[in-house]
Amino acid sequence: MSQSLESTSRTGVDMNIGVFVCHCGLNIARVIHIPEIVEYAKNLDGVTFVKDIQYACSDSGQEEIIQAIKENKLDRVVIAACSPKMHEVTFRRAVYQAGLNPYLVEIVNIREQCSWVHSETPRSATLKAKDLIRMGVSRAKKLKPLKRKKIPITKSVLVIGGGVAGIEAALDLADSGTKVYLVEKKPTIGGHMARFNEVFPNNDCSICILAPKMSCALTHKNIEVITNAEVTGLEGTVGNFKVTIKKHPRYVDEELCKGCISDCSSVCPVEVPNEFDYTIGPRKAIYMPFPQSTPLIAAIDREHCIGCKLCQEACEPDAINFDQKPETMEVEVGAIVVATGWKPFDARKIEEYGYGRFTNVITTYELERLLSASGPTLGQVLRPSDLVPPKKVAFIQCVGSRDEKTNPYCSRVCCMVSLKNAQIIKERLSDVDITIFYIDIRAFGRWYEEYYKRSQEIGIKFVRSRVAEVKEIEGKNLTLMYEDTLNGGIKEETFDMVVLSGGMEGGEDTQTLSTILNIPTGEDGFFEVAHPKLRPVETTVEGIYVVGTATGPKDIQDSLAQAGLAVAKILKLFMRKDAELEPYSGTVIEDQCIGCQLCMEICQAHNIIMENRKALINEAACKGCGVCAAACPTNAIEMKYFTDEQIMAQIDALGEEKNTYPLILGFLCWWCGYGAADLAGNLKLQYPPNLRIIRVLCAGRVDPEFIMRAFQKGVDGVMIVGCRLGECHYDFGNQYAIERIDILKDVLDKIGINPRRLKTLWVSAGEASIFAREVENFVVELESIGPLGEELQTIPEGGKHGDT
Amino acid sequence: MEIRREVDIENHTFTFQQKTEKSARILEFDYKKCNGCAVCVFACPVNAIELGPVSEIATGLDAPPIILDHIKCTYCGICAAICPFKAFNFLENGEKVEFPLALVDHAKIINDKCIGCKLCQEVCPTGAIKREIEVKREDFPEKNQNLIGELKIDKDKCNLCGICADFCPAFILIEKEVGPDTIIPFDQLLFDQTQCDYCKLCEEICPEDAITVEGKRIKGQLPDVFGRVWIELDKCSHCDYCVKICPYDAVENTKTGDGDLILYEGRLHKCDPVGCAACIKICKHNKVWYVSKKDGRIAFNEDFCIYCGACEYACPYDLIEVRKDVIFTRELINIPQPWRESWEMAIERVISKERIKELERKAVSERPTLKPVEEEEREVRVSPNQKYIQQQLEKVIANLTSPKVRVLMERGKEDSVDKLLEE
Repeated sequence: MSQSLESTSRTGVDMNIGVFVCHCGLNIARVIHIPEIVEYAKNLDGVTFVKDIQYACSDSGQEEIIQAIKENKLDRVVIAACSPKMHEVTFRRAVYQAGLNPYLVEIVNIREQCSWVHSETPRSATLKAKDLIRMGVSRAKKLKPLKRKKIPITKSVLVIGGGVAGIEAALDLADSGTKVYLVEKKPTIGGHMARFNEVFPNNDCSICILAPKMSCALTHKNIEVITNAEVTGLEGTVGNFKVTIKKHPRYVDEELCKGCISDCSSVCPVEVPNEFDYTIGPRKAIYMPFPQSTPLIAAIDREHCIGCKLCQEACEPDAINFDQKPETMEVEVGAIVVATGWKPFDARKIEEYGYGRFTNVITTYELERLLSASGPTLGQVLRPSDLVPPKKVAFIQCVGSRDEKTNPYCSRVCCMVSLKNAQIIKERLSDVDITIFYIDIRAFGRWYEEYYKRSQEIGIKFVRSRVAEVKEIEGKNLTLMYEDTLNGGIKEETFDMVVLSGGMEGGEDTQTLSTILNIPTGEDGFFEVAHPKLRPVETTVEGIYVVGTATGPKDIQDSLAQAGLAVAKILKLFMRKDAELEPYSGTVIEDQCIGCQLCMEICQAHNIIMENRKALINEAACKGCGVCAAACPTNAIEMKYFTDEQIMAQIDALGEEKNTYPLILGFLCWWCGYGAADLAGNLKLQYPPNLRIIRVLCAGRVDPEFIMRAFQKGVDGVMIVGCRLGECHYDFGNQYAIERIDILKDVLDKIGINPRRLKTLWVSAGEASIFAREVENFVVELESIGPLGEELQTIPEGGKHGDT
Repeated sequence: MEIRREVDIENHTFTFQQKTEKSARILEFDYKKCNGCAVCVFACPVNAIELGPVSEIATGLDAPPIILDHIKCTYCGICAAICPFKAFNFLENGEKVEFPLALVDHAKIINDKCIGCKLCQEVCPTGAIKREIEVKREDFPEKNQNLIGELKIDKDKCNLCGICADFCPAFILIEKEVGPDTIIPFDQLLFDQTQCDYCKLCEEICPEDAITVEGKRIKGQLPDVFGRVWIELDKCSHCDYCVKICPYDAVENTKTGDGDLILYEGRLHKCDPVGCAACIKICKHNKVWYVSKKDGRIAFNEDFCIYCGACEYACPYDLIEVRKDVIFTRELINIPQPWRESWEMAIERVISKERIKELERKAVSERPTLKPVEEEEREVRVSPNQKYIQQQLEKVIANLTSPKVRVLMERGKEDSVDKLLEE
């Protein structure tokens, strides 16, 4: 990579910028008028080459880009295509192949954040795309070559199972320089956690904390994610395993599929219950398991496809291939991590509760999908029979746990899960009446008992009883027959919806895998470990480790702890190597630093020290949130790839032309805000085309100067979107943002600008519908206020002067 | 992608069409070939086919025994592949599709064994057997004049194959009605001596040496085979009549399924085999049912049954049950396409007589389809006060470079607001 750093350091007016506009088949071109964009880009300052490409991410598309860079001696590249979360890595690789530093490419998101969310307003979407490209080109001019740290790969590990434990183990290993093969049986990684709504004890949005890990696993250069695949054979011993992997056909070309899913699945005539929604929602025979599927590639379900071939005709990039055959591959690894997880207890087995017969008896897993913003009801709690919010809900605990007839063991998480879900339902439907029927409430972890207390405080009722029977009565309501063991007496009570808190059972393939890997399982259907106390992740086979729920019910934190432990054990086997890191860290521009120590004071990670009265950042440890850079009065801290100069250039470029009213500039944090905006695109949620987005790593990166400059340049509103409070990926970044914004609102107010023009939104990456709705609300609000300055009742003297 | 679906009816053939930009699929359905066996109803993966009033149709109503919803239909072709009576024809872009998972369709005449007689053709219920006669007496111009001879037919040897009668007008076959109980189509062979010149050719042509002639052999060579017989598979219902009648084991046939045909004798008092006869009439392709001459009650000969199930639906008194054990299809292994399992499941459903379960939509929020709307030209509004605001902000931005102000600000101090606004 060394040659590129020197070869591309040209800056200034003689820069050659190439702009590539991707059609993404019709995904972009159906809405955005590409020829107009191309003509527009040609006239932008510094742009010497513009080309539209059918599929920029395809091999031929990349080749076109590479050729164009070489032939036209381009030194900056702007690619207007899908989200950088999708293909930034791809294009960086392509640019690097053309001899440029990989960080000299700028991705302009005109799919997830433009064409997909403005399908109904193509004209405005085209205008928006112009703005975004103009901003991208301005930013590209300021891009600087950056260097990643390199590590040689010598050792490799097989991770079986792409749930949270497997992903965590894979990422830790990969970051240490170990090559990882992550084998997942399903078409997507993410496991159960990817489908859950929120997770206790702090009610984090489950997908938001997992999705970054999923996409990181997929794009990590040391991880080969092999989906739709199973391990079928094993030879060798520790340090030298030879593993046979069978990859089942998806019938969709992984290279060609663009993940749009709408074209193929909309024509598919087969509708089946979606197992990824725990069957509460439907899917087609060609489908995406859930909107955040990783990889974002459709799959055809061979159990249900009937061969009408319409998807093949509908797929613009021609990604459907019915002739795909199973592939067998062999990999050599030094160690194996088994993270095959668990499966939900089948509540049909307890007939007296009527699951499968009574429409309004659902499982706790189905409830997770009902609550999830990307689930079948987009997060609305509706009872299945009539799709109205329930008024009275019962939770029955220990369904398939602590029960001699099914599973004698305690599933450990169900009490907390029900407490959590009861709290969430209560938050969303204030007039709902919730009763939890339990044997014992087991809230045994840190903050868990407090969590139980909180549930009692907010009015959730608890009845100590094992419910004898559920009966369906008129109106699909349900009557519970039970003995109240605290107050005594046989009782009956009627509810609108019953949630069965089903337990956890050993994963589907535990027995098969046990035979292949020669590691034992217990009578309960989970894997055995070498010693339950002292060797909790080791198996009887040296070099094979089992983590997470594959060895019994566990919550997420315990699963992750085990994943980490297994990684430590493996690295003990291997030599330790340094990881390759993104270069997103802060660095001090010494000439500009005045030694005020403000940055040192606010860096919560304590990565800034003072040396010779100048600040010094420990770049290796710095994660790049940029809270310090936002605070620095002299702009002496440069956040690599997110410099003040680059962001200011985007703001200024937006101000050059006002194409829409009200015009909103958004600063979206990469982890949640940007993720929610992308998900809105994936879900095709529509919102008004007034927002222009600048990505930052954290809301705390947003320098007050950015906001003031934006208003100065004539935007009508500024929106800062970050993670939900308490869920910041840098711990406190959004808190800093809040405090700064409060002050800036006062400042605006005093100038005479309506402070409501400055809006904050704290959402999880899964809350796409909230994001879309809030953008819409903001537009309505700004329309009522009028264009910037309209609210000034009387213009002071100076203003009149300035006006002339 | 736009998908157009339409339907046309001409005489007794429905033509269902699905057209997209890239393909045209046609499903033709000839309802006269259909007997309402419901195999397609069970096989259909989207429940697009409903069974019609089979009982009424059997007893005279002119209507299609099945009703196909052409909007629901996915044009997958399972119905065409699995119909035992080839009532469907499936064309993709004008070409007939050979489905790898279709029913076995195997019936043929073994030429080495066949002597070209007319027995199988006579008994075939569907008219699927064709025959060409190679030679006739009139092909030989020579005729014995005024010769008095004698011709004897050995009734024990004669199997009423009918070759002699086809060859020479001196033989006359007395036909009788073919039924599942009496499959031999002829009653007896008569000899008309006024037509005979005792040429002795019949002696040679009779495969059973049942004819002896005293006379004079005229000149001329008889061909090795008397006639050529073949089966037209698109009409064949694999009933086995030909196999059963052929005296020379010259027919090979694979039935499309196996199972059990059950008549509930205990309830037979309800049955009116003469007036109703729905089972007899509906089983037009296989002729399994008949009225017993012995006791006048309804009876069946399972030898000819392919267990399609039509009689079960035709009987108005619920006296019949058809149990399917197996359906024979072509080789399933090595089909790479993703729909193999669905097709196997379709066959399973036909056997168990269960329709596909339709999805119970538990919880879904309907999403509107997104189409561009006419956008109004909207005014990009700019306030005349903008300049003033810019000046004010200029001041704030300048103050943001003051370390003192920033420290106050980062510590959340309210007086930072005023400091930011200072001139």
